[in-house]
Amino acid sequence: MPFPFWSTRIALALLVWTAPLGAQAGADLAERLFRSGERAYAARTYSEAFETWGQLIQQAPESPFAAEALLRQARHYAEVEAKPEMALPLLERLRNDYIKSPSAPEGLLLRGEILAARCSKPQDLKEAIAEFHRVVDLFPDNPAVRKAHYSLGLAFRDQGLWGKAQLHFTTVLGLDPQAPPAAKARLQMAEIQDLLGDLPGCLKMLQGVKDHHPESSEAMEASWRLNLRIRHRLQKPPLKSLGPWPEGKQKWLNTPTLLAFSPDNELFIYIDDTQLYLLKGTELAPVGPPTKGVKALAFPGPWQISAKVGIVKDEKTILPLASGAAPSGAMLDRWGSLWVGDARNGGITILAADGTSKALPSPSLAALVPMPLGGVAAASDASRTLLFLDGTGQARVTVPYGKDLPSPFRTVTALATDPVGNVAALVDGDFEGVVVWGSDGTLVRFATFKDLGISGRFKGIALDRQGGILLADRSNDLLIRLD
Amino acid sequence: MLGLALLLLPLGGLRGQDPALKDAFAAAKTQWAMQGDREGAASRFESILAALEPRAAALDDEWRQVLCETYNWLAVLEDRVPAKRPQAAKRLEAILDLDPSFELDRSLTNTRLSAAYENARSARFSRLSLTLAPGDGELYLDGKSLRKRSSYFLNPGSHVLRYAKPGFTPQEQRLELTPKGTRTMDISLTRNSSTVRVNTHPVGAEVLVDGKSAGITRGQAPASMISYTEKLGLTLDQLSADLILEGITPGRHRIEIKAPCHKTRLLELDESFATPFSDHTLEPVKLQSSRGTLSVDSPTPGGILNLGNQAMGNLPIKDLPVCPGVQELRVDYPEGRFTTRIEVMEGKALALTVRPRPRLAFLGFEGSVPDRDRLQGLIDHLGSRLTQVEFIPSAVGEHAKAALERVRNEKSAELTLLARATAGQSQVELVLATLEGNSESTSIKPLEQDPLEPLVERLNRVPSLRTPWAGVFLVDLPNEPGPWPLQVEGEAEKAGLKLHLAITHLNGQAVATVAAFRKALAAAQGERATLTQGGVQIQVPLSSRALELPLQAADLCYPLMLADLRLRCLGASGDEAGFTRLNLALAYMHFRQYAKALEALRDTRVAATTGVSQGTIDYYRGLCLASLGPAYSPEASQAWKQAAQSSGATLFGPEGPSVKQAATQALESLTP
Repeated sequence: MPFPFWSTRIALALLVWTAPLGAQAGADLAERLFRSGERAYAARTYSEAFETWGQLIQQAPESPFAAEALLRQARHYAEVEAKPEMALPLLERLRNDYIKSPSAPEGLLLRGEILAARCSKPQDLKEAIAEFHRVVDLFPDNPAVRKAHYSLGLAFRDQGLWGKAQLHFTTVLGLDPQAPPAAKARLQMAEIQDLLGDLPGCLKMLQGVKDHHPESSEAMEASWRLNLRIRHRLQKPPLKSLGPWPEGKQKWLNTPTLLAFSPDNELFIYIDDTQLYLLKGTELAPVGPPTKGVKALAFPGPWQISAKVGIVKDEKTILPLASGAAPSGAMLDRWGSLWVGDARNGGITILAADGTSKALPSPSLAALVPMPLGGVAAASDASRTLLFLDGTGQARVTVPYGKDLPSPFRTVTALATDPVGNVAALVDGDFEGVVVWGSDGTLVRFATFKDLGISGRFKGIALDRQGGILLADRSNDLLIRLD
Repeated sequence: MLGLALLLLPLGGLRGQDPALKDAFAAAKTQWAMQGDREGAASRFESILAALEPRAAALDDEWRQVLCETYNWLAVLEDRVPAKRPQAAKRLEAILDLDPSFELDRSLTNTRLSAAYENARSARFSRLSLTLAPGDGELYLDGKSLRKRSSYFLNPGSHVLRYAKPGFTPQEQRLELTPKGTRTMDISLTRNSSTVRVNTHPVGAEVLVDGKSAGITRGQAPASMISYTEKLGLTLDQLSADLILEGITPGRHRIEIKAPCHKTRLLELDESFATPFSDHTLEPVKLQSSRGTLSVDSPTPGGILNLGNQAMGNLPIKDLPVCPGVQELRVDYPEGRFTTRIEVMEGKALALTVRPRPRLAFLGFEGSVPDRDRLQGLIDHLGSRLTQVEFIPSAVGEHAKAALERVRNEKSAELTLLARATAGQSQVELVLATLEGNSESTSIKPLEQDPLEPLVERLNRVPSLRTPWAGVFLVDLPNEPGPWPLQVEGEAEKAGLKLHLAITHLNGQAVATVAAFRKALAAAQGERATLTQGGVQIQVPLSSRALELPLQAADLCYPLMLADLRLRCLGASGDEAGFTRLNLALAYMHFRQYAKALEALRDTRVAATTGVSQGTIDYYRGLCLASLGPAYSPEASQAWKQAAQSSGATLFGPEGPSVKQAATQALESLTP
């Protein structure tokens, strides 16, 4: 009786599966399995690709292609499916079993980046920092070292250790000033330099991004950051009203009371005490569920903070505020904690992502806005001070109301920041108008409404990236732009 | 004794002994004719025979004549001695073997011998009588030149006879000679062009007729030209022998006479030179000397100048007279070499300042390299593609290991290149290394169109480590007509350059951006530049500032950087020496050789206090010490404290981050 054909096929498959492979034959098979998986991945048949790579790792665990397969899969989970928790076991196996492979540096780097992104407080960065150091120590000649130093810089920046952050960013520049990580490092260094009070150094660094990486997205970002700083802090042209904005738009907003730019430079307007809108060109698009009494926005999101409703993340998620709280401003920090200023009870409540909360003692705050490198700027009418707090809540700078102004003001109606740390306020009192401070609390620009030739009930303020200031006029239902 | 000396003449050494041999021949004749000393004369003739006979086949006309005459004399002398008469007959046969057209000296040869000679000749050869017109051409028989005689005795059979003279159409005839036969021929040549006879000073000039080379003058002018040489202020040996220009056909012609280091002379021949056809002689041409001057200097000591492979002396060389034209210039140093092609113009001075470039020696192949022959061919031409190194090809037949040992022992290169087969792949690894072993590898595919292109690009990239500087830090701002001064330094500030007012022009050229300003600055020459700010022109001093070498730039070849910087250090002084040593230290840091980097930084001091300056050097000293481990932490701390005191020092370049901040941060990092 002839042997069944299908039995022969199974027997052969088993023979392939179980028979020990000769060295050269094994290497060839490993490469073929890897390339086959690559083709499937390029065709977006991911499950087939991963199955083939899984076979590779089982059949030829010694092969460098096995390590590369682990890395590819990990990268897919982390970057395509946004499931970093699935990437971590693969990266740990890469680290433990394939430390000598060419894929190891990138694997350790990716692991460090995932660990850093998962941290909920500065101390949690320890493991990620250790992983980045491992890349630097074990693979000093590998191009991954540049990214490792950059990531170390970011980690120390997030911990508020500016000096250590600068050290690592400087190292990135010293290794290869033309490589892409150097562009990002320059941007980071510039911001820290400004924070540390070295404005000329900051500006030179931003110009350096344009000089060394002229066609890059970092150069475009450096351009507007440079322009914004110079305009407000060096050129300081007198503020003047350009009239309704967008041009020609009169009586088109129903009592706007809140204005804010997102980190992606989108303008959000809260209207009619009911609905938040996103301005797209000259048209308004509603964002999130209708919410009454919103007093603050927290980005990214944005989350709407309302004394009447609570913290509205989306249609389905609403978190309560403390009883009797009167939110006057909010910030979502790097760790996912929400800082909420309280105009009635005073203090800042920090709500962590895990649900815990803590209170930072402070006078009652009329307004609170986030600062670009962590921390907040907050206005306290009670103590008549403008406070610049760092990421731990410690006061970095304190500016008395009215300092260096021709006349004092008593209250702050609204506060705004821009991505380079300038702070603008709508103020009332003997001085009624707009005041702008630099990130170090130095007064840079100011004008009364009378000087500007405008009148209205101004409730919201926002700073744009061109150095302009937007005011929300609740009584005339429009926005006015100051230049 | 004379005989012994004549016998010891080396092969081909007749020329040097011509006078002695000729004297011996004359003396032999005199000995018989004047003194009647038959024995003595015969002995001399025997000696001459012994000298000439072994090379009879190679003798020219003149010496063949001497040998034939010697045979003639010996035959006559031996014929007088009955016992030697048979020998005399052999002498006559020898003459016929050598030159059957030779005529015996009837004045000394008796009738019997003469008759025996004639009979023997007639029995063996055919006789040919020629009448040639004109009579002063060149006659060739079977391709060999023949002396002109009234008649010739030739071997029977088929021969080719050719008669030629410049300006005439040559004639070639085939003739059949029968044994013992006699033949008479008339050869007349027909005129076909004119000729021009030229003599030149210097000898060795090339003469071109209507753009085509007609030959090079040689030899010495005949005595008949003495009056011409005196008129030109020359001696006979300074004027060449005649060079005959043939083929001057009806019409105008241009003659060009040129020689190295002389001005070319142009002569026009009008129609009269070829109508009618005739032979002309030009007045001797004396070319005028033509020279430029060359000065070569180098900051690196020990250079020896070579021009066209001729050593010209040690540098510096000032105002060396040199022939105009293109030449290959080479300067050899104890380490490194510089080569370039120069063009010296007549009457102009060319001045160069040169420095040594690293020498790159190709060691050869290791292992079984695929497509080796093609790769070898490409590598052989590598030298013409490299601009920053001096390429030395491999020695034929030398193995790579032996080559490396030789290069190391002789120190004949600063860099080596090895082509190595990679296991199991059709690729080749090119390993570039310093003699100390600092190396980098590049994989190439030999079958690619130009597999060496990546290597050539890397080897041609030696970045400038200085940047031009006008004393102003600039930024780009929108809505400004030019780059915006953020900070103005010292001399520029004194010159009146203002802060925060856009610069619109540099040396009259519009500059709208920082990039355009830098480009215009790089092209600016001289010690000052004119900047326009707000319509006002301001003269600011120009200088240059140091730049740092990056530690891991992907496009730099660090073995090359090491070798190049080491050579630069040899010739540098002052602050330039300090900055070169700093960059040498950075190159060592690329290879993590911190101890060597520290050696380069040891005792390195610069006067500069802003930009890359002393503070920068102190900072890197601290970095190297810290990299050596915790044991050196105190020294690292000391260096960084020193660096932290420098307020104006920066890293990387004049616009880089502050050393003070970096050093302060580095000090913090030392604290646990």
